[in-house]
Amino acid sequence: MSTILEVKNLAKIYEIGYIRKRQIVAVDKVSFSVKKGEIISLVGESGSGKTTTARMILRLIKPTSGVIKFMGRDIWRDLRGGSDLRWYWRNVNGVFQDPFSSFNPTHRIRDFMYRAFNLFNEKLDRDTKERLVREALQMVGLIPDEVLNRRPFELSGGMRQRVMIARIFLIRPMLVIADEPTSMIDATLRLGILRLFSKLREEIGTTIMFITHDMGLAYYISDRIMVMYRGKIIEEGTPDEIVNNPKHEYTRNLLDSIPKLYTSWFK
Amino acid sequence: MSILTDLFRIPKFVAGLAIFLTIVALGLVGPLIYRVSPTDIVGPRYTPPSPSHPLGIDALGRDVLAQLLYGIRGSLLVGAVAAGIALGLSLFLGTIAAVFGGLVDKVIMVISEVFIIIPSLLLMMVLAAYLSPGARNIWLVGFVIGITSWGGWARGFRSRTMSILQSEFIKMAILSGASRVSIILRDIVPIISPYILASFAMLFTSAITAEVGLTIVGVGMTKDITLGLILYIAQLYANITQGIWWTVVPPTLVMILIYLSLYLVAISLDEYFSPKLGTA
Repeated sequence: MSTILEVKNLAKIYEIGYIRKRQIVAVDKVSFSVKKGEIISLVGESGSGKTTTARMILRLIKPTSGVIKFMGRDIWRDLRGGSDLRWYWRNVNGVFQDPFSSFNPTHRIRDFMYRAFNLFNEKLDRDTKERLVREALQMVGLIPDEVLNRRPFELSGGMRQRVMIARIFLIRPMLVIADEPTSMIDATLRLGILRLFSKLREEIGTTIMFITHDMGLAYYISDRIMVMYRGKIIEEGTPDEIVNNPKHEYTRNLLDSIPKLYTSWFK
Repeated sequence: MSILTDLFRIPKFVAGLAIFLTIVALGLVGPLIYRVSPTDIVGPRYTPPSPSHPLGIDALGRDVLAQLLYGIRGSLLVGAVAAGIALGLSLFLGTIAAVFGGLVDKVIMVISEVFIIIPSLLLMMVLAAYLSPGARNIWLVGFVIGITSWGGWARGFRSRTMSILQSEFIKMAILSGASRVSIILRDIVPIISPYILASFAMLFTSAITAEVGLTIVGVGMTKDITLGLILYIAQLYANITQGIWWTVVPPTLVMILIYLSLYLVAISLDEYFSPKLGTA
């Protein structure tokens, strides 16, 4: 399997204060690589820098230092102009955590989906676009006629998250960065959303990077898990290695914190 | 189109729009129906309202209704020109400053500060000194008021835009390959549209009031009739203390109605659009 994404010494430092400068290291020299077709999870607590890492890979936040290479091209140096960026986002796209704030409240679902056609180099006529959008919505188990003319506030959180994933089915990128796609959804709907990601890999061959705080979820879905703590990746391995043989103290705490049946919660 | 049909179900919106359009219609069509010249002397001064002169006669022996109809036309023109210029400049520059940021932002903010500092009175006085009385018309006054009142609103639009730019859906739009212009036109403008309309209403009414102020100081226009000019003549001859209400109340009432109707439109738009923003 070939490497699709390579991250080297990636760091993001925020400076606050005018007179007495204080530095907050959000991401601290992180290096990893993602191979084509794998599902990789980045697990960590709130504030561990995992979302910042995701945003930097999506080219939404500029890193302080370090290199992100996608298919051999440095995304912050080699991409110039609109067409390069459209190429990048056609191939690398994301699903966000919050299905409520990720939609413009004044847009219909149709507008939201149609906007992704900006990324397409090929010129498509109206009928083709409509057909592609409908196919994408059907892929995630939504009925196009029911949602296309709705506005986001008329849909439930689960439906909106499905629409966001439908957008990915429409764009068909090589790499999807899914930033806590299930954290704001009812537990009963989580499995359905996770199955959609598996479907994404089976049908389009997408590489998926999951950002999550839920070790159970990561274990369920991933080929490889990276544990992030205070801006650093402290452990990396297959789910079984991590669960059966955690090396770092933090990973052990994380594993202990997964609620289990038949054990007392109050020791 | 469904937004329009929805809006027409809101009583406040319909009432506000109806009042405003009635006033506009009065200004446009009124002078064509009530064919009395607003500058001709038609009778003895201070004749109270009567069937031949429905709103009486003012201090200079002119018909007040004719003055009011032409005054509405003049004031609406000043308001529209000033509000149009100010809104156009502030919306364009405010959103551009926020979305492009950096040097563009700094330059636009400095220019807006300069224009906040320049008072319309000063500019008008300078222009009044150098321009011939013939060149001082409604358009010029509208232009001067417009050019001096956009600065604060540009900052308002900028900060509104900046707070919207922090939203996740803007990041989603960027990931969908949306250009900056598309983000301004399709994401930001629809969301701040109630604010835009409210600012238009405010600019409109403040322009009408500013015109009154300029007229009273004597640097307003010299020949065209506006609501400001009617009030100016009325206060010049101390009509209020003499109890001559028919020269004072009608123009004041019309000004209040213009303000009220635009305010009703603005708040009903706000109520229609903002629940969506807060929906969780």
